[in-house]
This record gives sequence, C-alpha cells and structure tokens, in this order.
Amino acid sequence: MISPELRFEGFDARAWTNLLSLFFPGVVECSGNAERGAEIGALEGESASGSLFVIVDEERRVLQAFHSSRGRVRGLSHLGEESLESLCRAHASTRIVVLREGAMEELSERMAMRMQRGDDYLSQWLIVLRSWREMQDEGSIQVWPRGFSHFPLPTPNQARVLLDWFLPQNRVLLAVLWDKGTPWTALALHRGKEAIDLVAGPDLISLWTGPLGGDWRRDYRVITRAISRSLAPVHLGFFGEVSTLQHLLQHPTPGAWARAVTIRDLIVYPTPPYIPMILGADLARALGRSSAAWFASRPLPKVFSPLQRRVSQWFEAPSVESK
Amino acid sequence: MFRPERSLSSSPGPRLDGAALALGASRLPLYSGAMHYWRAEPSRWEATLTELRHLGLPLVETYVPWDIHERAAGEFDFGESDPRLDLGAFLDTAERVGLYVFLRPGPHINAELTRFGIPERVIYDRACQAWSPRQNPVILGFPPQMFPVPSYVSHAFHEEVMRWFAALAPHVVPRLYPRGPVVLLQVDNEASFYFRNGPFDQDYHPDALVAWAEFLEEKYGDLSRLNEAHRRAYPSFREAFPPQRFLGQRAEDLVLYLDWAEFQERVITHSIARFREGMESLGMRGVPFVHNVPLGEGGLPLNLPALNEVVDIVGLDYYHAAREYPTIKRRSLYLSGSVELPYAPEMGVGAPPWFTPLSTQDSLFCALCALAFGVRGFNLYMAVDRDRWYGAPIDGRGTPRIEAGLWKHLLLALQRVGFADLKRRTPIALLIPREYARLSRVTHLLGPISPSTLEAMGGTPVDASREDSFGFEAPIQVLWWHHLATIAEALDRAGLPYAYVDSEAPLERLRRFSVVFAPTYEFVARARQQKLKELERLGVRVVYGPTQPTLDEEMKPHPFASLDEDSRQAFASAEEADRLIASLRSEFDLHCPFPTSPSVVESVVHEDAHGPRLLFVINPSGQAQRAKVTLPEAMLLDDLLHPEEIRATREAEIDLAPLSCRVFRLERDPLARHLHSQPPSPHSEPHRD
Repeated sequence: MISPELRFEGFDARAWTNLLSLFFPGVVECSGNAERGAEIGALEGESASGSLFVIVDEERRVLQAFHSSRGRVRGLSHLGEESLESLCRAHASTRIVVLREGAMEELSERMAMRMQRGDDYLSQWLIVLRSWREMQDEGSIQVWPRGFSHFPLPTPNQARVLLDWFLPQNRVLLAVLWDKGTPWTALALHRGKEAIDLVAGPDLISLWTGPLGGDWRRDYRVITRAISRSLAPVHLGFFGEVSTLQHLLQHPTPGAWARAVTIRDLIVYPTPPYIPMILGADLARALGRSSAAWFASRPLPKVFSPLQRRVSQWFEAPSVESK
Repeated sequence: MFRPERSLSSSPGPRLDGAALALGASRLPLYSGAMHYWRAEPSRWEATLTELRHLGLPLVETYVPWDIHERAAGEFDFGESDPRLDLGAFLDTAERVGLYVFLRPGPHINAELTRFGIPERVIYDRACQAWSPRQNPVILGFPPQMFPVPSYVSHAFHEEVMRWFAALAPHVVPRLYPRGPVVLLQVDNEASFYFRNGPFDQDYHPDALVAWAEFLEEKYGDLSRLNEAHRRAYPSFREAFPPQRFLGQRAEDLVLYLDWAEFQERVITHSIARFREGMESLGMRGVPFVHNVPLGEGGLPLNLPALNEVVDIVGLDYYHAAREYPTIKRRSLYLSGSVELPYAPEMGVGAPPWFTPLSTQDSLFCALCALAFGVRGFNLYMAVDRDRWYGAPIDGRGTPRIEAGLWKHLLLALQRVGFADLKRRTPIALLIPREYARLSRVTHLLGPISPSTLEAMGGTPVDASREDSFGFEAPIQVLWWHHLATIAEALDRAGLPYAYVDSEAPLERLRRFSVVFAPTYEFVARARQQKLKELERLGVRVVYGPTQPTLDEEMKPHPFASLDEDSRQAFASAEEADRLIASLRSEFDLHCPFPTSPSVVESVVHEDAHGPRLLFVINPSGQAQRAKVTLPEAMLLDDLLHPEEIRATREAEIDLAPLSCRVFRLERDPLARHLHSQPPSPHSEPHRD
C-alpha cells in the first residue's frame, strides 16, 4: 500500500494535526493527564475506556494485568469461564486482550520466518495479521470485541487489485478543506507504479497551485488542474468546508453525504465510478429510511407489527413502539 | 551573535565547560537545530542556514546517511555525482554562514529513512543481523518497510561500519574545529537494539554468544563461581548459553537473568565505545562525543552513567504531547540527576507522520518543561522541514513559518539570561536502583512490546512485569517503581525540589545531595550497598527501605547492617510518606523555594551565585489557572516570552492557560518595596505558550 520510497512533505504542525483530528479526534485533542499508577480493581459504574491486557500461563493463571491508561490491575488471579466481554465490562474497558505467556515472542518469530527480502509494507502487514489470526485460532491470543477478525484476509494481490480500483497507477487522490474560506488542511496522495509514493501537504500543494482566488467553490478547479499538471491526473478530489465534513463524519445519517454533494456543500471532483455508486447507496438508504418510517407510522392491523418493526430496524427508522 | 571569536593559536579543540562548549576563550551554549542537507536543494543551503542562524541557533546539526552516500558496495558519493550529497560543501556553507556543526554520522541514524539509513546489502547480510532465540532475524516493524535489525555485537557489522567511517573521514577530519566548523560528533543514534529491546528479543548472534561467555568469565573469574551463581553445571564458559525466556521461580534463579540484563546494557556501552574508537582511529577526534537515548529509557537495556564514561554527553530525546507532562518531568529529573550535562540531542519540534501527533504548543511546552526540570541545552529536531516530517519552524525551502517566531523568542531569551550557567538546587535524590530495573526488564511478559515501548506509549516500564514474588515478600520488580512514585508525589505535595539519580552514577554526583532515598527490598547489589554506606559516612542522609536487605545480587546472604537502622522507612500510604517528608524537612531545613497555589500548578526556580534568577510556572492541567506564587521579597517578574512585567511585594498572581508554562526573569524590585499591596495583574487574558 505504501512504497519503501514513500515521500511525505509539505505539512506544518497545524495542517497535519488538523487532518488527523478529522479521523482520530481523541488522539489529537485529548488534554489533561491520565492518572496512572493507581492500582485498581473492578470499576463499577465507570465509563468504559482504553484496553485491558491480561497475560496468563498455560493454566490461565494471571501473571499480570494492566489497563492501557490506568496501569496495574489488582485482583485478577485466574481467568475462569467468565466471558471476555463481562471481564471487559467489569474493568470499564472498551477492549480486552488476553495473551498466553510467550505469545508475542512466538508472533515475532513467525513473522521473521515468513518475511522475505523485497516484501512491501502491505505484504509484511498481511504476514503479521495472518500470524496473529493463527495464534487466535490456537487460543494463545484472545481479543474482545473481535472486530474484523471474522473477515477473511486478502492476499497481497487481492489488496493490490482493490487499490488499482480505488486509485489507479499514476493518479492522485486529493482533499482540500477550508475553514470559513481559509485553507485548513490539504492532502494529495500519489499512487506510483506499485503503491502510494507521495503524501503531499498544503505547503507543497500551494507551490503547485500558486495563489488562489479565495472562493473555494471556484478554486477547486484551479487546484485540480494544477495538481494534474505538476504531479499526475487527479482521480478523486474532495473539496469543502471542514465543518461540513466534520458534521458528515460525526453524524452520517442516511442521505447526508448525497445531500451535501448535491447542494455543493461538498464538491467531489473528478468523480470516479465508485463514488456515484456509494452516493447512490447512501441515497437509497435515506429513501428506505423515509419509507420505513412512513410504513411504521401506518395504522395497520396488529398482525403487521412484527413486519413494521423489522423494516424499521433494517433502515434504522423510528420503530412502531417509539411512535 | 553567538559566534565567539576563533582563537586558532591556543585552542586544542572544543571542551565542555559546564553546560556550554568552550572554544578557546569563548563559550558556546548548546542550542542547535537540525537540517538534513541531502534532503534540501544545495542552492537553498545557504539561505536556509542563514534562517536557522536568525532563529538564534549557533549550531546546525545534521545526520550523515550511510545508505544514501553508498551508491554501491564500497562506492561512495560525497557530491561527485549528486550535489545534494556534497557533505564538505554543506559544512563549508555552514561555516561561511557563521554556524558551528554538530555532526551525527551513525551508523544508525533513523531519520525516518527506510532501514534507518543502513544499506540494504548490510541489513540483509546474515552475518550482520541480530539473531532471535530461534536464530531468526529480528524484524522491526517501522514504516515504510519492516526490516531485520543489525547486531550490535557482530564483528562483520562493525567491520562494515568501519568501512563507512573510513569513507566519511576525509570529508570530516579537515573540517573539525579549529580547522573547520564541526564541534560535536555523535556516535550512533538511540542505541536501544533498534527498538527491538524486549528482554529476550535478541541477541543470539554467534559473536554475541562469545561476548556473553567473555562477560561471564570477566565477572565471575572461575567456572565454579559462575555455576554456583547460576545454579547450573556449565562444562565451560563457552557452554554457558544465555537464557531464551524467563523461567525463574525462586530468588536463586534470578541471578542468571540479572546477568543477562546487565550483559545487554554492556553490549550497548561497548558497542558505542567501539564506534567511537573507530571514529577516533580515523582522525575524527578532538571534539566532544555525544549519544542520545530514546523515549522509554526506564525500560531500556541502557546504563546512562556507564554510557557517560564512553561519550562526553549522554542526553535524552524528547517527543511529548503536553498531556504527557508527568513523563516530561520525570525524564528531565532523571537526566539532570544522573549526568553532568543534561542535554536533549533531539528536542522534538514536529514529528514523523507515524508518531503521536504533536502541535507547536506541544513542542514548546515540552521544551519549556524540560528546561524547567534541568535540561541545559538542546537540539531542535527538526529546525528545517524535510521528507517524512512535519512541523519544523523553517519549511523545506528555507522559509520561516509563523511558529519560528516563538522559538526565536525563546532562544534569544535563554541567551539573554545566561540559562546555560544557571542551576536548579535539588537537595533530594531519588535513587533508581539498577538491579531492580533489570529485574523488571527480565520479568517483562510482552516480549517485543518491550518495557520501553510501554513507557514511551504512556505506561510504565513495570506495567507488564510478572507479579511473582520469587519467595520474597512481594514482587520487587513491580513495587520499586511505585515506591519511588509515592515518594515523588509526597515531595511534589511539599513543593521540595528533587531529582532522580541512576544508582550507578558516581559517588561524586550523589554526595551533592542532602538526602538520598534508596528503595531496598530483600536483595541489594553489593556495589549499591557500598555506595550507600559511603554516602552515609560522608554525611548524606540515606533513607532506605521499605525492607531490610539480607541478600546481595547473587542472592547470597550479605548483611546490610552498617546503615543506620533508623533511616529505614516503610510507608504504605501517601499520608505516611507526607509525614516522613515533613520530618526530613525540619531536620534538614528543606524548603519550597517559591510556594505556589493551587497545588496543581508547579513552580521551579533556577539560580546563580546571586540568588534566584528564573522562575518557571507550569500549569499541567487541562483548565486555566490563576496561580499565586509567594516571593521571598519584593520582585519584578519579567515574562521571557511575552511582553509583560509583574511587580509584587510578597505574592504574584499569574494567569496560566491550560497546559502551559510561563517563564519569568526575576529581579529584586526596589520600587515595589514601597508598595503596600500587590497591584492587580495587568493582564486579563491567560497566556499560552
């Protein structure tokens, strides 16, 4: 996915932290100091956060347990039959990882045996994930919630085909965001022959574009042309106010994205074939939701109630009961 | 403005003078900024270096990347083909601009280069690689490509490094001070087994096995003594194989593992010494040598005092968000307590994209707090932006960014107050017991997610140490850390200045303190016992405990009787720790220099021979604070970073933004003596650095 010759240039601290804050707001914005070192037991009533790590021996005797932000956990001596979910809740954690002693060393050895000189980063990560899955299957690593661990892992070739479809060779993915008309952050990803080989930030992008007019609904064409001229043709571009994008990311209600694009609160240009598909699906979801809400609100005989409920749940529409 | 006159006649070379570099009759403060010449257009070098100098930096720092200069095996390009690689021209440009140079030629440089700047042919040479317990390569998972790390013990690797140094030397030697601008040389970079420093991650390379046998032979002398210590029956030293995982169950079993941890520290120290000797043998000598230690030093197989014997400056690297204030403070207190010149070879300004995101405020807050707690010099890394980095104050084309002004202001202020010559008075030392730190490492349960990784991620290096007590009363490997933390918190509550000191620091350092807290449990290394006794004999109050030791590091009975039994303190709660501190306070007339309220706000004072000169007031909380600082007399507080003065007779009110640090130059204020009450603070908006 990323080239060994990857270049990353053109970000000041603000532009980079702005960009990350869109996707990882907690990492960038969290302030204050986590109280560490407190020896804690079960934390009834506390809101769940962080990860609980438990290391056990062959007999599932607990050798050590610690929380990622609260430190050492006391009072766990043996993992019995209780579910990881209940243990996670009892310790006010969002995730639990149970490792058999030596599991990380084993993972490291398996990775080292399987990696070949010349493997790219994607192939290397797939080796790590495959080894991890193996060890989960063997029971030396347990994780709750399991997240994506039910999904099959792609082969490196499959992953490359997916990348070809998403961002073909020698094409650029571009995103430029403004805050009340002032440039807020920008990103240009260039796909080389095999993988992403350039991540360019606002400094570099502004070098290519030169001064802009100040109206982003017009400037986006200038930017797209400048990038296509200086770097490579733009395959997909996002342009808009940061507040719009933040709202869409935080409240992705059905149809919101399609609406934002339709009324040009968010400009997507150029538009590769998968974008209309995605927006169409979003629109269909919105239509389905409206229809389901309408259907749920109809005064139908009681025999239809289960069907009304099922349809409401399917489209996340207000249910019969809530009406 | 910083550039002292060259005095070519009498100067044999730069030498360290306190926290400055003496160049002939002049003294150069150790403030530098990093720029990577090979990542910039040569046509922009001069303009960029000029901007760097305008920032207030007297030195430019650069790595020299082996992999980039070596175009093919044994063939090097120093500008013959690619002008960007003309190291000599870059150094000459720096000199022309009026900058001195801090040069860091590796072999390991990281610099976010693929394979950390080491040629691929070397990395994939089996003879040069570190070996895992199962004789596999040891893979480091850094982007943009994972790679097998080299072995610090491999002779083949050291020979390759010597070939690199030999190619480099002709370009560096003629440019060493006083003939040229190079005044500092660094050996290697963040030597921590390339971040693969889990206790049994590596190194089982054949050369390492020989070194292990030699280490044991040197330590134990004869085989029977070794066999007795390890509870083994090795037929010879060469057949004493190192442990591949932790299997200890009783106290006696621990000796083998403690030896392994000590050996790993020695591998790093010896390797750094070997690199330095190699550089010197090729003429790269006569200037101070530096080495830098990465984040998470509490969990690293590194011995700071031992390293400080093979290089002149050992410093810590800083890359912290403001929310990591407790870590910034602890690390700075450890550095200032453990080495003679507390220096930050990498004071992060910005970061690589795959690191915790850092804002300009984070970087500045981190630098100010590090300075508050004892760091005397630093290298702004990066001062000039480059590939795989964001957030430097000068962009990649040499144009200062808006935040450059903040750094310029700070640098000028530090120079104006003569910060390098100030001192922070610390009468209390908290001893970091190396034998317990080693035990914490070898009982670590997460393998390659090493103790230092946990610490660097915001945890502690003992978080994943097993809870077994090995026949002792409690798990020493976990408790010592929390014991020291309890004392530190009590000292913080009392407002008493202290420092952490590595237990292997020389006696000369330790005897400067009035009180030394030394955690002790059932076993204590003989050398540390001896040091504590000697300190007590010299009049230092040694507060040990909670346990009366009865064993040495080989788990053999060893009386600990000669220390004053009254000095043993076992406190289980914060209240008991507070009572102990209160009693020591009155006994040794310890006082809080500038009492500050509310308690969340901390103040730190730096002084010279004439008294207090600089006051740092730190708000580590996420809320704005109005701090009240009690002054010993009427004073004028001149804010170093903002145009503001505060006059106060006895108490100054200082507004602080969340996660901020303000720095004031202190002056006696004759005018304020006539004031009966403190005037209202002239500012209404809180400041944030």
